[in-house]
Amino acid sequence: MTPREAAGWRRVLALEHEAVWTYGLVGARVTDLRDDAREAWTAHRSARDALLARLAAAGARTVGPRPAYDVPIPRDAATARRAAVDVERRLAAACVALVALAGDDERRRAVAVLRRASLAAIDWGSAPQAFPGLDRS
Amino acid sequence: MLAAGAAVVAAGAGLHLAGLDDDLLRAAGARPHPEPDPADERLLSAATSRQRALLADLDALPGRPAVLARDGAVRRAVAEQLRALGGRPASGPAASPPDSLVDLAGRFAAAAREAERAAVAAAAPELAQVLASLAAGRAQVARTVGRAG
Repeated sequence: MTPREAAGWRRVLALEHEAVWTYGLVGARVTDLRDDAREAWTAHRSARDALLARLAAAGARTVGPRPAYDVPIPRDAATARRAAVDVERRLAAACVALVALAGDDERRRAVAVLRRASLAAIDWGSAPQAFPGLDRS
Repeated sequence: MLAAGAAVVAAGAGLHLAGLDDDLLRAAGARPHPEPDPADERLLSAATSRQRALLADLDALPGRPAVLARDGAVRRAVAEQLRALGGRPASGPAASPPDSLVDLAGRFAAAAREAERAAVAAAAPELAQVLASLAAGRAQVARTVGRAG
């Protein structure tokens, strides 16, 4: 893993931490979404732990979680879904950025995480986007 | 600023992206450059042809299920992908129309995997980003269509 790839993965890792925090919040606040939130929380914890291990194995610096994140407290299913879609879309954007920095192996991994985040956004209520992760504004 | 539809090349990679939407290029950090890359041009051309076929498939779905027609989000995304790649809709009907939503979803899922492989193979980082994002968008359509089936 090159230093540029490690920097890109650190941005993804920071968002995996945030996703774990967000889905914990969703599960705790919105009973109707508790099962889905638990599943997402577990998936992001696994992704976070695998990424931490890969960065460490490569001798690269890692990042830890923040004490809290600037995520609106979900009051109902709609606000919870918006929070989930938001973090998944930002994960997708971090992966698209990483694709440009990475060699074949890391690019392949970034594409896989991009797919996972983009599909999760759909699962949490997003409409399909033409180009997830690319800010075309 | 680049004129819409202008022939442009991604910075530093010698990628000639004739017709590729300028907003898309800017989103991927590209800027004009005179050197074409034939292999990347082939990847872009293949992605555009495939996208044209996907739009024709979507439009050819028998009865256009109400769940897809309701808000038009799926068609808008698919048409925008084609437009941004610099392609135009096919002039004729789909060669082999899908017979169900499940069939259509399978075509988008397969096309998503194709675009993922192309993203990994692309020489130009900017094209890799566009193809990776296109793959994710196709996968989202596949999931949405599959759920409607």
